Amino acid sequence: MKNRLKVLRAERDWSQAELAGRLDVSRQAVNAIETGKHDPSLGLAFKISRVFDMPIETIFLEEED
Amino acid sequence: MAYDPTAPSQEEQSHAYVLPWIGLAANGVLLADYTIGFGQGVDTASLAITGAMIFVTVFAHRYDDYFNGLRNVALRWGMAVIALYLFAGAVMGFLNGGNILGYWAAAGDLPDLARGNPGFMADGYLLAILSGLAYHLGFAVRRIRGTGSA
Repeated sequence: MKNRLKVLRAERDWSQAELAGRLDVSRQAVNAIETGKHDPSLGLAFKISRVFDMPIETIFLEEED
Repeated sequence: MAYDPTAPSQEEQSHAYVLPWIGLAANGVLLADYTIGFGQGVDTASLAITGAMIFVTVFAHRYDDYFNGLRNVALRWGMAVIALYLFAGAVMGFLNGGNILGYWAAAGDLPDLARGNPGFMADGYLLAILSGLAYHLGFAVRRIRGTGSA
């Protein structure tokens, strides 16, 4: 699954550590999501949506085959 | 969200990712000790470290989403080794049974039954080392290649 986390974070001028702090996860988790190595759980996806104040479907994009 | 005074800090969550690497190194030493034999001190230290790392990473439930994803993959790898080990035992049992039947049909009496059982199949210590190693390797490989939708 693709996501726009890196772009959204850059727009707000947040570091990975800063975003990790807002999400209560490790910096490694933010990095893994940004690089597409990890798809977050539903709970974390909702949390990300709240932090960026945007709907989930505008942050996470389904990849077409 | 409610404030939780016992929740791990971001730094503590980051440090957790080091634990499986320590476990992998200790597990590797344990396997080398099993095959080569370094001596009692190395044996005890690597046993303690490997056991502690597996225990801490399996039972600590307050790590973050990504860590839990990695742990799920690692547990699958560890259990897969146990399943393969047991399955291999079953295959050898069937083969041994076939051999016994063939021997009985040809010679009319039973062969030496102890000969058909390879010793390593009853070696629980080796199984523990191998499944632990698979657990740590699963963690390491998925850390490098990603968990996908874990």
